[in-house]
Order: sequence, then structure tokens, then C-alpha cells
Amino acid sequence: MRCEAYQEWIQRQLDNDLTSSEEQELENHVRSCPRCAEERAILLDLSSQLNNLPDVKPSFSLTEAVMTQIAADDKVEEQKENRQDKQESIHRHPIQLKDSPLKRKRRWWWLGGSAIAAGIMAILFLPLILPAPNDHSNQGQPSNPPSSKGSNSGGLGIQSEGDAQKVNPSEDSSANKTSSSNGTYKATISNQQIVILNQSGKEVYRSKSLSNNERVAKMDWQGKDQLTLWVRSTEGNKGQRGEIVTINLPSKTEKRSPWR
Amino acid sequence: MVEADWVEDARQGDREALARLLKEVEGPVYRTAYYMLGNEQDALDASQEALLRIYRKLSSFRGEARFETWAQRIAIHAAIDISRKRKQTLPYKDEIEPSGSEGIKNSVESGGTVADVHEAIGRLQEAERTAVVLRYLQDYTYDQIAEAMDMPVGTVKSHLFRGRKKLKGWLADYKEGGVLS
Repeated sequence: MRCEAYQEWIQRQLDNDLTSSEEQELENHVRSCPRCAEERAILLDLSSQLNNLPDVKPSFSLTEAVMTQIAADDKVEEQKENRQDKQESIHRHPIQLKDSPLKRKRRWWWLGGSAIAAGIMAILFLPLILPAPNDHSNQGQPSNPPSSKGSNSGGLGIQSEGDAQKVNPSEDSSANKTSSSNGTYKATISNQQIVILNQSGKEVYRSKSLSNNERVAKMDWQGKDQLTLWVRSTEGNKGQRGEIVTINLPSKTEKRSPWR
Repeated sequence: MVEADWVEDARQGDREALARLLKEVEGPVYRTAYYMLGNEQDALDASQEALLRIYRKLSSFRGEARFETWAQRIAIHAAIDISRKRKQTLPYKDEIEPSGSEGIKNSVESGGTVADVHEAIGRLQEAERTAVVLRYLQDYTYDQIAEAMDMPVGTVKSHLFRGRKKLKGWLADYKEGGVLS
């Protein structure tokens, strides 16, 4: 074996990595090789210097410092979460308010237009609608099939939209009536759903579930088979009191429109 | 000695277990950082950062290494990050000053060899320095160094051997310079 290989053994000897037979062989070589003997002496000296390097200790408790920092981070994180929660509920408004001037303008223009349209329609169609046999209610307003509501496809749709806007539930004497005008149906609220029963108590309609933050402020039958609900939301949009839900029994449909 | 359930408890959010765990490795982590970086302030910064990283990475510790070795790995990375930030890893030619300069004066003032060795360690390349520090300041075996450095044992050996060879050469120069001056 050449000196180069023994030099690696010398290094391994420093790390107690030689087997006893390797150890013996290295001893034999070193005895006869002054160069390797010197190399080993120097490396042994270095190794003992490295072994004797002073131990060092931190001047303060690092653990304590880090635990304090972790606790502070936790707090900040908690606050951030809280703030985020708050911001989510606060921001919901500003975000909508941001683009609301435009939207509102557009909405008013549209509403104005639809109100005018509704007026014209009412004048034009009143004679046709008035004699309708189902109008036993005292609302003085035409009941319209809400299935076409909001579709904007026909005059009746627009008219019904305007209709919903015009109805002010707080002034409506027939509010909170849960039975339809001729007593055919009865509406109840159960588990955030509006359940409509017929005279024999059989369920004829069950609405989609309202959100947990929604509650029904008023219920009113329009005509014999159309139920209107004014639903308030605790997280409602600004500028909107809630939503008006219209359930039409013959078509088994429900429509939502904003309640301002 | 770190108990297995300390890690588990700390991972579950037990702050006492976490503190116990960090306290157990605080000393060795600081020692490694100190000899990797060569000064107290950087060592304090690096070891605090290392302890924080240990806490943050606790959920990824799978027990494939000893906790202490795993902590050393994090300490080494934290130290290397700081040393790179401080640009202390310039080639040693730029760092070393000629005989009679401040470096040597300091070493003479502080009693010679310890400061010489310390300074010489600082001149080693990162991997060589890491291997030497783990071998001598943590008393690690090849296998443990390999685990901490995430390297094959063969690579660890060559870093360690090369590091020792360099130290041997430099310290011989120092000795001559020191004796002469």
C-alpha cells in the first residue's frame, strides 16, 4: 500500500474508524515511514486542539426568548384572524359600496323605467286583469304570475317586479296572514323552509331553505295561490332591506327580488 | 436526551413540552452556530432562528433521524443563511490578513492556539467547516454527521479529511508566524 492510502487511514484513526487489524498495519507502516509518522503526529496534535476547543454557552436563555416570540406570534396571528373575520363582515359593505354609485344609478334608472312601464302596463291592461276571477283580495293590486317575474321577457314580468317594489308590507293590512285569501292554503315556516299545506293539511309545497341569517318579516297571500314573503337578512346588503320571495303554487316556482 | 413523547406532545401544541424540547437542544445548537459563524452575536441570531425553525418544522419531523441530529441540521442551515447574509463566506484569501495583522494579534492576545484554530475553522468551506464542527464540537460519528448534513458517509469523510488537511497547513503557517513575531 502507498503512503497516500495510509494517510487516509491516519485520518480514519483520528475518528476511531479503523479495525484492529488496520490499526496494526498502520502502526507497522508508520514505524518505517518518517513522512507518514510526521503527518500523523501533526494531525493528532490538530485533532486534540479541535477536541479541546472551549465549550460555549449562550449568554441568555434562547428557549425563553424563542418561546416569548412564539407566544407573541400566536397573539399576532390570533389578532390577524380576528381582524380578518371582522374585515370580512365589514368589507362586504365597502366593497359593494365602492361600485354601488354606478350600480345604484343604473338600478334607479332601471327601476324608474320599470315603474313607468308598470304604470303604462297597468293602465293598458287593467281592464283585462281586473275582471280576473281570482282577485278576492283587498290589496287593490293586481296579482301576477310570478313565474315570469324578472325575466323581462314580457310586460307581466316587468309589471310584477314593479308590483313587488310598490307593496309596502308594513302598510298592508293583510300582512301576517298565513292562510290564502279563500282559505285554500295555509303557510307555515319550519326549519327555515316555508311549508304550504292545503285545507286537509297535506303538504303541497315546500320552499328552498332560507339562509341561516334570513328570517321572514312578513308573509302575505296575493290571490288564492301566490304567497309573498318579505325576508330580512342579518347580513343584508346596504340599501336593501332584504329580499322578497314570491311563491307561485300552480307553477311551483319561487322567485327572489330585492326588497328596498 | 430527548424523549419521543416530548416531540409528540410539543407537536400537539403542548407548550411545556416544546420548551423542554428546545431547552434540550439549545446548547448544542448554539455551539454549532458559534463555531460555524465565529462570533457571539451571529451565533445568538442563528440559534434563535434555528429554534424557531425547529418549532415551525416540528410537524414535518418524522423521526427518521434522531431529534438532536435533525435539530443540528436546522442549526447548520440557519447558520449558513446568516453567514451568507453577512457575506462571511468570502474566499479565505480575502479574509485572511498577513502576519502581524489584527487576526494574529488577537490570537496572541487571547493565548494563541485556540484563537488560531477558531479562525482557521472560519476559513474552511461551508461543508468542510460543518463536518469539522459536527465531528469535534458535537462529537458526532461519520453516520451522525451524514445524517445531519444529509449527505452520504463517503462525502462526509472527504469533507472532513480535506478540512483537517487545510487546518493542518494553516496552523503550521500560524505557528511559524507566531514563533517568528
